[in-house]
Amino acid sequence: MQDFWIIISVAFIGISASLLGAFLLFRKMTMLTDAIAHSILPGIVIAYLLSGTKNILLTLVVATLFGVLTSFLASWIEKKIPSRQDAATGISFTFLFALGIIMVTLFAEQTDLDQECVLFGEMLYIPFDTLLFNTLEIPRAFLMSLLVLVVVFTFTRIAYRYLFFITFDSIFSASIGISITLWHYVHVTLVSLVSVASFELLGSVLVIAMFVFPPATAFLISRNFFTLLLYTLFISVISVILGYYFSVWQLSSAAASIVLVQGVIFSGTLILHRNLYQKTS
Amino acid sequence: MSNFWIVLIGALLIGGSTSIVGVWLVLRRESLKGDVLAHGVLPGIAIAFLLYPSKNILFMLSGASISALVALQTMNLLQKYTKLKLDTQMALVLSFFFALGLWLLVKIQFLGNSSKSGLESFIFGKMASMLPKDIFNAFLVFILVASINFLYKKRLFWATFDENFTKSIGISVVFTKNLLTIMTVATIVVGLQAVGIVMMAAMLVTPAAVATFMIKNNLNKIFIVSGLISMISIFLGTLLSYFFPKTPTGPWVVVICSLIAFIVIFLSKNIKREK
Repeated sequence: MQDFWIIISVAFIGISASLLGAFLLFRKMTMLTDAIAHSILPGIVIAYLLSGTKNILLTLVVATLFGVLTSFLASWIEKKIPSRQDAATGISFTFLFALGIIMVTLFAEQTDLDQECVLFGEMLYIPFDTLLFNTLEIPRAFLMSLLVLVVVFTFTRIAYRYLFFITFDSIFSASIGISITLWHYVHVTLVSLVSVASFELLGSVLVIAMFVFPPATAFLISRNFFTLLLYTLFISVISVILGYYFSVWQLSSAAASIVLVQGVIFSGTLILHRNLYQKTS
Repeated sequence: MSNFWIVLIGALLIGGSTSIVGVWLVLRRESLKGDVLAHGVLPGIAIAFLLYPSKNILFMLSGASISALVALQTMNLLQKYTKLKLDTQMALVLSFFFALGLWLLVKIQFLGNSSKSGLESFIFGKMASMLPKDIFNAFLVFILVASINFLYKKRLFWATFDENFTKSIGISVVFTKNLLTIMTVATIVVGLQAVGIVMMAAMLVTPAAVATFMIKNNLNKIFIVSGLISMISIFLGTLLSYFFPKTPTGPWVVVICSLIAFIVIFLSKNIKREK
């Protein structure tokens, strides 16, 4: 049962992340997830300090705001330093992450956060932090990832058309009156929401893998966007399951194992697809 | 107090190298590549430790360099064999290599190695643990970077701004790129233990970005300004971390550096308006 809760919570996060990641991939913004995943750290510390205990909703809200703040900062700097998007992203997220690390070390006693959980997340503690519903014990993290999944699915359902348009033809979508800025920030907000949830479970750097690997793998083999989404969801769930059992077998970090499995799936797909494709054509 | 001076001198040497390399990375619009390489060294460090568990600095440095080069080569392969864009290539390589590194580090901890402590300092950096030996390494790398920069500045400049011209006057672009790679990897590897992975990325990007933003027409001035900014922020950051003894030095340096960047960028608007 413990395995089940861990896998299903992480799989929900994986599904939400890779769904948004597919759009990021085509908007050439995947490094933004790296930036967001680092810069939500001060938000998480502030949420701890505000509530005194671990409050998931508050953490989600405050840290998501910090994620959006990174995007704001980066686009503000980019306006001043034209066509240096990489530098703009680099300046803003490293600043917030450095601030976060300082806060973590300064308030280590009040927050029971440390540098280790910044790296690895708290995936294996999922089954031990539960809420009681009548007689059913449900892990807090499961509720969090369910909430995130529902929010992401609802918004993607509503915004699919707009996201699709601004992703593939921003000039056309501007000409028919779709606000690129609005939907960009909707997208960024969702990305940072998922990043926060994923940060809690998986740690900072591995968030980006959840966003990027499944869509990038699906990109190799699919011919249209809808099949890409289907493959993406499938790959993200499979990699979570395999990765978890790989970590149990090898006694190592579960989050890192998931990413390793994703990497193996990616390279396997790349090699197989290239060989098959070259033989048939 | 002597420890303070050791830390300061070491940090200044590292800052000197990062500010030179960073300018090229920013001018080439490859500044996130520094981030990727900084994450890419982690598996090498872990493997070097597994093979030879005594934290011999030379062994670890060579492991780290090999690992960074493998990461770079992986990006080239992705470029060659897939249609994925540059940002996705970087994201894939960065997260995979970092995950591999973390996986190995956790494995090392489970194996129960007594001297495993200190491996985490590669991720977050521990400036205070710098020894005179580390300063010597930082000095060597600074000399290497500065002399490559002095000798090959023209070539790097041409290869950055006009590849076709560079080829037409018979200079190999690949060779020049390799020079830059050597400079970058050496800088990252030697600075990593002091400032950590993410802070390394900041030290490469921020001073150089501000310098290229302030000065448009003179490469030498860009190097000087970039160096000055990183030195000021290293000095203030080291001081601050001594006032708050629990906190690490690297993040303070980055915070100061970013604040300088924000002030410069903020003021620039007013200057433009006055005109």
